[in-house]
Amino acid sequence: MLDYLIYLITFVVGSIAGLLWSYKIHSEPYVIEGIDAKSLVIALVGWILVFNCSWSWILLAIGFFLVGFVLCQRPGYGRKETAIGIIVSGVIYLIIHFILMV
Amino acid sequence: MADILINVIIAFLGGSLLLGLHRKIMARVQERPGPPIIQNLLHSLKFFFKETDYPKTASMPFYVGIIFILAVVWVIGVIVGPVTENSLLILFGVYAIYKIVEHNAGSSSGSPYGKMSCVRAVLSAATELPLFAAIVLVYAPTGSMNIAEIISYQSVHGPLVLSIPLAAVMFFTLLLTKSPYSPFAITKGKDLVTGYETEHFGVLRGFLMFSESVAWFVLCWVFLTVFFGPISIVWLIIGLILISVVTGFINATTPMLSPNHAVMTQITICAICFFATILMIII
Repeated sequence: MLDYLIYLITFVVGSIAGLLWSYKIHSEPYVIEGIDAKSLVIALVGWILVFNCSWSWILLAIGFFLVGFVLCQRPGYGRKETAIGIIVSGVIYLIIHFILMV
Repeated sequence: MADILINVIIAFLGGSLLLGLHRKIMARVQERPGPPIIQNLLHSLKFFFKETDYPKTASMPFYVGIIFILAVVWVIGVIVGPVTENSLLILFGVYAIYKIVEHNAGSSSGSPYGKMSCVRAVLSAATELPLFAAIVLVYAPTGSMNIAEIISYQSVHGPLVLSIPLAAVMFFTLLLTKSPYSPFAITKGKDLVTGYETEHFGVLRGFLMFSESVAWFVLCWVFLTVFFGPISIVWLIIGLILISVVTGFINATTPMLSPNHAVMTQITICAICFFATILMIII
């Protein structure tokens, strides 16, 4: 169970870091349009690690940190980036496991 | 001991995040941006660093002691559930004590809101009826109240949700009752500010929120384990998220019922599901 606790804690720490970071760079209260390139890269890396690196707890922990960093940003930010991250990493997971049969 | 500590922290962090998600879903359904998912956890932690004050009308040391009893009760819930996979009857006892604690937390503060919530806590004991009926119906096919044995039974005969679905509906009614802003949450109706929690500040409120998060995690875990059988950690997480999303959606679109209506609705759901399940088992 210790590994799951580590994932939870890294997710929480990532969430707090993401929340503070997004409040620092976004002064507008609620933005619906636009995709932040930095957040998109972080979300993509995070979700790809979470979906595809179950063999390494360190990579998973890093993945959860990055996922939390984007997912828990200031309300209105990080949603589209998270959705794109989930879709892309899900597609990569399907390609690896069902087409390449790795 | 380390296992218990790890599981309690997981239940607290996991329960807080799930309640945060629940709040977010409610906000999105109501077309509000809503707070970040992490907000409920930050809220809980914040109270541990706030100044604790005590109302003049509080009956000490009962007012303080009851909150720690509540936290201990749900830690026992974690031990009986995820740690040892012990008897459902002990969990029923945990829930019964939780209702008593809810009652006493309201009465000990001396606040009129707390006292009204205390009276409603007695009424809301009707939520124990679906829980007890669900446990009885689980015992009927499995012949056991031990969670580990129920899991073993399901690994052979398939998930109980397929053989006794209405018992699962009853248990889900309990989950719905326990979720924040539920139509059945009469002890914390908005007419009572925050009900029995109204006069609890600082560290005491922190422990209250800790207990609520742990309670949510434990009850959802029991529901998924008892009715969906041996499930992997990934499916468990998906299940926990789904329950929080579904209850959030229901709570966002349903008004809070009056105490009489809430109790009668719960008893009616319980009676219909119980007798229908008995019929299903006999036929």
